[in-house]
Amino acid sequence: MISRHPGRSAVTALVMTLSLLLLSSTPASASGTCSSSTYYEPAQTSLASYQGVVGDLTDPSAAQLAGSLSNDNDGQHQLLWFEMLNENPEGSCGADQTECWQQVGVGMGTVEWSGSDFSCSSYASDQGSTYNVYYEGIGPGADDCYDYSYTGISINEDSAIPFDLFYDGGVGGSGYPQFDGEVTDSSGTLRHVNYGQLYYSTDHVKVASEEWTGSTSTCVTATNGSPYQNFGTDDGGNWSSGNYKMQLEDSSGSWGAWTGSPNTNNANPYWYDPLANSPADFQTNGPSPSGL
Amino acid sequence: MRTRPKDFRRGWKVAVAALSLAGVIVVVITVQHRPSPLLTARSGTPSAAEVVYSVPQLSYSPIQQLVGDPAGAGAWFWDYTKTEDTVFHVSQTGSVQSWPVLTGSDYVGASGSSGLAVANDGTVWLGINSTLLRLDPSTSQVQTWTIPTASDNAAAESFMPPNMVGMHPVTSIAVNPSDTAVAIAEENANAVEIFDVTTGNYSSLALPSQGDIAVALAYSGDGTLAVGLSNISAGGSANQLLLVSNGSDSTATLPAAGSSWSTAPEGSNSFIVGSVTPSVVSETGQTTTLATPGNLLGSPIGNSSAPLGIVNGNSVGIVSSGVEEFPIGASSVAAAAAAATTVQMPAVNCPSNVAGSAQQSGTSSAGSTAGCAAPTPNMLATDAAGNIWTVIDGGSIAVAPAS
Repeated sequence: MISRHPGRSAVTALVMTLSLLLLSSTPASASGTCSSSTYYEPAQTSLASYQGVVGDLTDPSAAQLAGSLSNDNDGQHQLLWFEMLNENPEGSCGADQTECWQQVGVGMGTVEWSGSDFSCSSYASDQGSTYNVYYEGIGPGADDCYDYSYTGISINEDSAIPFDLFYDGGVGGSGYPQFDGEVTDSSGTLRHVNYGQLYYSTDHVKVASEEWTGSTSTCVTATNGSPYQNFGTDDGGNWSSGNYKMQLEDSSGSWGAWTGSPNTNNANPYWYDPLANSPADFQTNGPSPSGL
Repeated sequence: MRTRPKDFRRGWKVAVAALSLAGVIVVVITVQHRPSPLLTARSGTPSAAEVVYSVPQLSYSPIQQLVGDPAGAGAWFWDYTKTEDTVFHVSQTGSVQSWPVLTGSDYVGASGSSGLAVANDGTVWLGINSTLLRLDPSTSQVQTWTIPTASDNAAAESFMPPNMVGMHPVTSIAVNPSDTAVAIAEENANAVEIFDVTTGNYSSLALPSQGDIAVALAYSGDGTLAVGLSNISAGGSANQLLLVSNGSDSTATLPAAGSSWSTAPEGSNSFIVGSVTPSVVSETGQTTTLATPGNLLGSPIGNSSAPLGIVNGNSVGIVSSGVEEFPIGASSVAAAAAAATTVQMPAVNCPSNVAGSAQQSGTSSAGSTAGCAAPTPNMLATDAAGNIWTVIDGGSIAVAPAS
């Protein structure tokens, strides 16, 4: 897991830099705000309280990812993901005690040791032309982040599969609201990924792409780019090449397309302001009738 | 491309024998474990667990279910690749046998958390989606049956995304002590299916309320079935236990939300339930809350493998750095804490193990585990020989003898 939260970013960047220095064969970091060893994260976050998200993620090898992040496709870590997030829970999640999350995504490359506040490293291994689904989360009372790569569930290059992450209506074994992660594999079979618990059954939803690169890159923003990354589904939560909406489950348990008003103002790698033009903002690298 | 930080620097000897029986080809892989200085943590500390096996990460997903061997030392688990569902047995010394039970056109991709149980006669039962499977390890014979479609639980399905409505993958199974019945819990269903091993027929056990789903199953030594319940219509608090014995049903209310997810037999006529605030529940529903050391964590992330076990008459639960063994009959939190023994997990994911190009080329040294935090196990099981088994970091099996 790479820290992607504003409060952790400086520490994480430092730890990542130190980690790189420990690797004798890894080039030393370049200087600059958005250069080597920097974690880039164009993210799209809801402000409302949701209890699930259904959408679609394309493979992470596209040249252009969410926002204007260009993917150099150099084999380094690259992830796309959905997330349910509790902020400032009444207890601890990880050493910084500020956030718990459950995340489902697809990735390529390998995340280096982050280690700043929890033991979690993604293992989204590249297997040639396929990319693995992964699940990650940190739950109430836990110090450790759990991070699993599902080698048996992958996404083909230049294709897309639906992802679901939702509150399942009850509590899990530790007595906290339980979320369920599912994906639909390339054969069309719904595949269970994992369960995880959070302090609250409703809270923020986040969709993001991220790349950690060892080479110099420009700073990224969370504005739309072209081609687009497709996070979309139809109104029923089903992905197809012509759909570009994102489905959210509200606190009453109803699913519907995101029609709120997030905006893309003032996006930078370490802070995520919501988007302005939803649901079209959720399509990057996918087909778009309007060309957005 | 870099390889993943942790894993498999141990030496392995692999012998593959192909067996053919009843038209089913079963491959048995025997893996000989060589203890590694890196992964044999905290030498001289008897309560430290040792990793004895890690599934090959580049082909397998995280371990799906873990159960202790009811007949002796060892543990059973199952896992899958893109094309195979495989049952494994691992011994205390790291010897591993594997049976690819569903392959080719028979391969089933799990849409739910699945169920794994080992009968007293040594047969292994696995439920994936609507497939029930029986493996006889002594002959490698595999039999499969289709589980009848469950009735929909409207309350539970109201929380599902549209593409999951109407799906009822297996979430838990249990085999009775006489090996004649297999109880099967399914997702978003109003009933538990009971498979008659002798006749091959199914019967349904209706759950008490329309909003109930079954989240865990266990048989006691004398054959009483315990069904962990969560009533989604009432908030899904997972705090009830249905007890079924010779057609006589009773329901126990548990003291803590979430308790019914962890249900295991305790002796011949009672159950231990709950992973954070455990209780002992008699077959008649009498509930006694246990005094624990107060630091049990349960399983904040993970599938439904029971994160609480019984070994040598003591209870074993997950704590942040490992597992903790404490007496069932402690009179107070202080007494439980005083008598508790912690089994620490070996660190397997440390900064010094980070994959760099040196490791990638196979020239990296083993490194040091100094400063690494012990991981929190995500599955726990106990075997009949008094060993505590855990899954850590998704794919590594660690074992330690109970105190």
